[in-house]
Amino acid sequence: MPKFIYPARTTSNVLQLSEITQGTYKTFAKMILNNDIKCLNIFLNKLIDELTADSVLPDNLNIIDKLVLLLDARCYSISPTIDLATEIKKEKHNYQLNINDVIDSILELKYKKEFVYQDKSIICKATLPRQLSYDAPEDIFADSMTYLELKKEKIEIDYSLSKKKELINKLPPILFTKYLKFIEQVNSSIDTIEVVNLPSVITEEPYTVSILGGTIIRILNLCFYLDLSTTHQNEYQLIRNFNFTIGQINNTPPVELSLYYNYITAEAKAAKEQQDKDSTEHMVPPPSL
Amino acid sequence: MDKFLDTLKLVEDFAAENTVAIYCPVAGVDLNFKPLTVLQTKEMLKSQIDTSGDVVATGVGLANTYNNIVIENCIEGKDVVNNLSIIDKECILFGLRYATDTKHKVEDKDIDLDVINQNIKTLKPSKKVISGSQTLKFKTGNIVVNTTLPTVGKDTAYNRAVLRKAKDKKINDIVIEIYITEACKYIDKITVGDTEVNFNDASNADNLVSTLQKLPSSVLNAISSYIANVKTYRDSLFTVENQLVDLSTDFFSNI
Repeated sequence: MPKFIYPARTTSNVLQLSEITQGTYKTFAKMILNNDIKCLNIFLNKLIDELTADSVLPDNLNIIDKLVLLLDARCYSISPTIDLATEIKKEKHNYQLNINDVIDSILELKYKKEFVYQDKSIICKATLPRQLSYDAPEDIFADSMTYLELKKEKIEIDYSLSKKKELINKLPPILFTKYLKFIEQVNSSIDTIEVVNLPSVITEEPYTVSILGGTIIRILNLCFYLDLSTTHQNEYQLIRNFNFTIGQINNTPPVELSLYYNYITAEAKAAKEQQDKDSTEHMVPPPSL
Repeated sequence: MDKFLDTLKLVEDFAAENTVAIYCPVAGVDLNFKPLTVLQTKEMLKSQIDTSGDVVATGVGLANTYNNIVIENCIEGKDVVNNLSIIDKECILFGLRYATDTKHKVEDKDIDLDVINQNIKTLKPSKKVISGSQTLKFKTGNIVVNTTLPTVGKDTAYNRAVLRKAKDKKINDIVIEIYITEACKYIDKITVGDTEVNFNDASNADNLVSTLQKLPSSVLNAISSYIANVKTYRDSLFTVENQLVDLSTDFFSNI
């Protein structure tokens, strides 16, 4: 059966994505909780590859594009809103965050998306960083370089990261240093702009986007956090009382599982009401003296 | 042939075709150099962000990195560079940076590197910068101190001696030795009576440093006075509108 697919935005394109399933959602939440940026980066790349199986991933997909894609995927597969709550001095504060507003804020950010260096003998182009984390600054340049021309001759650069690094090491340093300055400038033009508007009672630290990873993890943490203990408990009830299998649960998008939970809750409520009603009707009046 | 090796060769050929001719004011010659590479810039930056806390290893390591870059990039070969003076070496490093990018800022102020480029071409070193000789008179006899500009080869060899000595030692314990070693680089020979000690053979650096330490402090003063002459000339090359441009890693990372 063909999968449900939907349009998901990047900062310059629209791709077709399939849904995040409950199994993947739980794994995603575990990856975030595990707090290892390298592992999370590998997971995100695999996840995006899996979700975009029906689209060709564009060459210029940077880390902000990946964030926007995942937020769109969250809207379609989990929910377009997040209910946040906090308690301060025994006073409860609730807030509903609309993820589409977050996506809009990110898409409204104005910054250069491509690095272009050109002099009389060199043309070099590169994207913004594509990964959540890198081991060294030259890895960013090697991973992001998309075009190189030396003396009007196009240089093949479609190699592994280690081979690209070897090539870059032989290039004039101006390319590397100008690229580092470019990403520094882009970052400083966006990393103070709040993209998630939350009341100060919910969070004191603003949510911003940085092309150098850290703040993106914070947004992913906010949007993909899952109370795994409660989730497993609920799934257990589905299996025990409603004949679901773990395979069915894991392959179902969270948004659809929520519907089942809603039906079950509504049914339970109706049954309780009926029971209350029945017990009132069958009440025997006390014998009159 | 492997496609990647072909590509690598293309990039290497590009660097080789873009050689830079740089004037060496002390040697009075133009020499040709391959341009700086990303790898070499990274090597310089490494010492800038070295967090090991070993000040001596970092500083001396950077000095040798600079020497190696000049040797690696010289088209005329290693021997030519090893015989150049350390002032020429700095002019070459400046020239490599200038060929890559003619702009430089110090504390947000634009520095006109053309001035330095012009200084290098026009300011000739005086005789007292090239070499010096001072006779120090003592009751027991004379000590003749002949000084000269260190060559790149000599500088590298003495730097290695410093690294050997500094290993596993705190800077406070070896600061005097570093100072003495630095002075040794500028000595051609010291003659005490009939005995002549040649300071150009740095393979014997440890003994030479010990020898200098045993001589009267006025010997060290004579060397310091020569070094001051060298420094004055060197600074005159790299000064723009009263601002001395430091050829530190910042200078190269600011490309």
